[in-house]
Amino acid sequence: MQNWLPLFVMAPLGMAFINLILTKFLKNISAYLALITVFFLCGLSFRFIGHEPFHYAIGSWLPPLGITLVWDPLSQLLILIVSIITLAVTLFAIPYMQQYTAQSKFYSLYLLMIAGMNGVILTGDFFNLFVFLEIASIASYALVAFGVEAEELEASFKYLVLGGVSSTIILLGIALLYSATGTLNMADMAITLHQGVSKNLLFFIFALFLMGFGLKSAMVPFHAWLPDAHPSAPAPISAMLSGLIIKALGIYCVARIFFMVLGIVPVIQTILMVLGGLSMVVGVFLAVGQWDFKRLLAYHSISQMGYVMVGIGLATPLGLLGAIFHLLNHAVFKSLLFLCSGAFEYTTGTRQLKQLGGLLKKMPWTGASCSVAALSISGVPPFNGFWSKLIIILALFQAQYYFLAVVTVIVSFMTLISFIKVQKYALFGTLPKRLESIREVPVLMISGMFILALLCIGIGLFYPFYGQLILESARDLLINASHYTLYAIP
Amino acid sequence: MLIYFLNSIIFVLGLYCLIAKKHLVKKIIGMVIMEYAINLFIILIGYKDSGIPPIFLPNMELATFTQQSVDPLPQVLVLTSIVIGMSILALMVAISLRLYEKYKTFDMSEIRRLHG
Amino acid sequence: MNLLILFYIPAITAAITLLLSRRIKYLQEIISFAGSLVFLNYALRAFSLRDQFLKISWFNISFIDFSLDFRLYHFSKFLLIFLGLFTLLTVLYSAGYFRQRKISRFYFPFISLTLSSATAIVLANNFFVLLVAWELVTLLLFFLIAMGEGKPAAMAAGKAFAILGFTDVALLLAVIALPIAYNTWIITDLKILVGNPLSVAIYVLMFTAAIAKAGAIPLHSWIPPAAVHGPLPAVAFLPASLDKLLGVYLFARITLDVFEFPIDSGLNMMIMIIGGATILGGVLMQIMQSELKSLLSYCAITQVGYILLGIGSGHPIGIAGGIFHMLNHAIYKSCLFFSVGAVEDRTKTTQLDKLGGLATSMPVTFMACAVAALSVSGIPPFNGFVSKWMIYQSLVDGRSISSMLFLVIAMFGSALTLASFLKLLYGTFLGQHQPSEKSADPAIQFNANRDATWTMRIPMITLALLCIIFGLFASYPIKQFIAPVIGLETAGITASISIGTALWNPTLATTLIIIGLLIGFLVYYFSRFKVREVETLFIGGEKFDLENEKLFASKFFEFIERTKILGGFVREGGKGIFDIYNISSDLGLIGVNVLKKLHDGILSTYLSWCIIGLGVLCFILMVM
Repeated sequence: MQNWLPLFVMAPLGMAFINLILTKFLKNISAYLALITVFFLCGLSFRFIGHEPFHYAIGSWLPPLGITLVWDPLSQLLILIVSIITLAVTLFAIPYMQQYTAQSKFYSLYLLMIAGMNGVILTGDFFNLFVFLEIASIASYALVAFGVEAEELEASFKYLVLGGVSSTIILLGIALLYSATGTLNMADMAITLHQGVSKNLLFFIFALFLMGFGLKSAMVPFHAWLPDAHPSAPAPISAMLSGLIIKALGIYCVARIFFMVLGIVPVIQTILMVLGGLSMVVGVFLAVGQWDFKRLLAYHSISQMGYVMVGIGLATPLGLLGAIFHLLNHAVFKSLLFLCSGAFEYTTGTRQLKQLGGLLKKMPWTGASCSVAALSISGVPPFNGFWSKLIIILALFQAQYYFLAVVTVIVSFMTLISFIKVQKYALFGTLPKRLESIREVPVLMISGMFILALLCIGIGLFYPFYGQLILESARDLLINASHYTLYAIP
Repeated sequence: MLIYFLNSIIFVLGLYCLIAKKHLVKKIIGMVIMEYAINLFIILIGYKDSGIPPIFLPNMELATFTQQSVDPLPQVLVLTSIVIGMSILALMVAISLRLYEKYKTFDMSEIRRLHG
Repeated sequence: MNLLILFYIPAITAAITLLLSRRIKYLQEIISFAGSLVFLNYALRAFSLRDQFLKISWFNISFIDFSLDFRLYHFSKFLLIFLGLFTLLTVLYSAGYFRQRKISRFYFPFISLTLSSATAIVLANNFFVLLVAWELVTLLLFFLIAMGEGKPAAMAAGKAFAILGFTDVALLLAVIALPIAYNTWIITDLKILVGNPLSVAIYVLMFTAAIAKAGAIPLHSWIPPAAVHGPLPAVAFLPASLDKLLGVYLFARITLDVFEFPIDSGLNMMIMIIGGATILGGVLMQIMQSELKSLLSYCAITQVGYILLGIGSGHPIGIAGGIFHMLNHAIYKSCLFFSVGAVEDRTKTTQLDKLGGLATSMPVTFMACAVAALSVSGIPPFNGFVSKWMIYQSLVDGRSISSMLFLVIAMFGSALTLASFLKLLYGTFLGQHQPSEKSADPAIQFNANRDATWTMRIPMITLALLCIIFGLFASYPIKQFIAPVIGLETAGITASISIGTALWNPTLATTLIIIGLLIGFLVYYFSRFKVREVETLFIGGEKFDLENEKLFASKFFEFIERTKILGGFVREGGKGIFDIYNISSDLGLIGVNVLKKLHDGILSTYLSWCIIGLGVLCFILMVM
């Protein structure tokens, strides 16, 4: 069983290249190859649920010399999120991407992105993390520009430059860490750092990583690329970027590195909470003023990531649980929202809210899914967003951050406001004359959205059934971060 | 120490070029300079004055070898990092060419249809 | 009997109707009707049950117990009956109202779901359960209003959800503070002495949620647009009756059970000031309306003021009066909305100017509307009078200048309410018959020759009868429903004596009124045989042309708008200057625009933010 772990990375990585070769002989096969891979990954991740933490040494080179992959509750959570969301997104993408040319290249890049994310999540080696981070990032830069229209190229270039700067900064941080510890294995590094290191150097590295991973997870003031890049990509990729990339490359790395390798300290917690609070407020204010559906969603990603950062910054059991829970929820509902925006664009040809209206009657399935996701993100019970926000606010109260709690609640209200706007302009009201001939989107697209809509309803209500296994185990790991060194190296 | 200082000057130069210059190609050059500064820094970490190549020959003693040889790992890392840098560079150049086709300008401050 | 059955019945009804298509006529209606009938049956059975608790454990997160606690006691018992009754009547009425109109297939399921969530609110013994159900009701209101026609309905629904969402968030904040500050959120375990700032904050937040649901100023502005553009039976169901019941229920519950006020705290005064302001503001706007539904909706705001005055007075009779008024208000306001809906169904308009003389063709609607209108204006012997009388009594008993002031305001409001309902009755049912506009617009069919269908008449008649019964035999509902809630029985004999003196004694007055009516009827009956003469009217020496110089009911109180101070308020109010929704959205937009300007799309700007951010982080971490 443990030997199957590298497949999380190898399967999509290999398939990305096989796909390019096979399409030379068989046209239209790439979509189904991607689908098979994603199904396989999904099944594999379900097989691994509840597995004891362990490390897998690649090529039998024992750590700390060789590269390791590590399976633990935190990576279990992220792998599960990635697998489920990619499954839904792939189902959606198959009909949706018929509009574009060069589909085989799309699916190759898409699989590369999945491979990069899975690599980042599983790896136990610092430089390896950087490499996978870059694989996922470069694939996403290319996918943002996939439409090769003016705005898409512009967004991609900005994303590329800012992402490139953050990658260099992260690399600098990794180099400094290496110079300080003489190892690249994370667990080994954690042990060495624990024995003592210059405080100034450690804080400098903290600052570098805060900026680098802060940019990847779109914390204010490093967020400016996101509202351009996420809406410009094709809808399935927007869903992946907002639903997964910012979490796997941003939040996850912050949690993993800050908690398990560097060791969290109170001043960093405060900074995380300040960054998170700032992101929440700035993101939601900008979102309220948008009329472009996808851009509105993109700004909300910034705001919602702020919630997660606040929870992580709290570092209390309740706060971490809220953050992890919100991470899961946000992946589900934000992907769903982007898929819905894609479905609306697919049928109506526009994503300007003012040009839409009355879509609930013409597209009941898409409309209902969109409504569910909108209510989820605005924190209306019984949908999943409510529960995680509730836990985060509870945690803030418990830690006596009353001001931040009130801010969080107000941000939640403003999220509600802006999604009321979405619903009343897009779903309700009268159908414009121009759109009278539109029809519901193809079944595969609906099925992708439907899976996520069901998850939105189910995740909150069935918490007692899976919470301990998936969420609380990851939370316990973050609290007892030093346990990481017990299983990550021999 | 001086060499680290000089290295950081390269980095800052690259950053300056990236931020202050409006021309697309200059921005790309700035980005590349920045990456090279980092690569140089990684090499410098492993560097030892008058060190020997990290190849363990049969007639060497292990103790002297570990003392004298430079650290091989940074060099390997830099190779990977250069490859990554190259792919980013290729992507940037490709996108900037397309950008020029669409916007008819290389001035990055005029390429701002996405804002607000 | 398991308490949960009350919760399951409407939920199952909703699930069944959700699966049914609207193609088969009356199928959804019949099942919803049957569901609410069964619910009402169980609610009546629950009324005779002993008080009981029910606890279903769900899950724990660290120290917080997310279990579902329910409690059946007198307050919830009588509310359950009325929830069931209103749902039953609404479903029946909707069956008639949507006979020819199109309505979403989600309408009937959502009505049933609303009943289910409202039951959860009423039965909740845990603020967490209450919060979830409370937000569900808001959500369902949003969907129900949005089922109205066209864009205005969507906008009205959005506004309602925005304002109620804000106060739901306030409730959330308060509820979350409870387990942190007081270690529990089980309602019966909480006894909070209002004193320290935290307890005041919790109370104020909960109070905000309660009055926004009920619709008191300044959180009232969602009601008028929702009432005008939403589907009418849904308006009669939620904003007019159920939301009032629930809002006042929460308000009464926290004020009476959970929080204990020190004597002479400012909070009582705050409640009464809000009540007074609501009466004044509501009634002034109400009297200016020339559209039936918006007139009723402003009236719905005004009446909340009385409830707040009653409960805020802190006097047992006032509290009883307030709760009784809540019940009465739900009854007559539903009746009024139903009758306006019947008018709209026949004439396709609710503009006062286009209506008139419908009393002859729609006698049942007219009678029901008249009873309800007189009831809302506080005319004896109808129920509105009794509850208002009790509220006045409590204010008189307050014996302070401020309570006298509030008494004056309340009476002034009552008088203006009467005036505005005279306008409504005159403009709609009396006066001249308006010519039909068949030729002008074929869509507007003036088909007012018949009264409403029986499914619409039965709810109106039932509610009108309730108005009369609760007026004539007021002591019965007060003793059965309301006295146990405020513990009058347990408070001893002195209290029950005081309630006896304060109560309106209907026997004598009713006899007199009935005799008066009888005489009037006899006079009318005998004078009927005389041939009435019609003469040409001369006003100021000129011939008054009845056809062209119509007396428009909508112009009755135009003079108010011309007066200096009041007119200014009313005009500005009409433009929405005092609307908290507009104010806050304007303020928010300033912030939005500043931030949007900052995101200028230039790459160098974004890069410099990143670098400055990195610099600041380095500075904080390394230097400080």
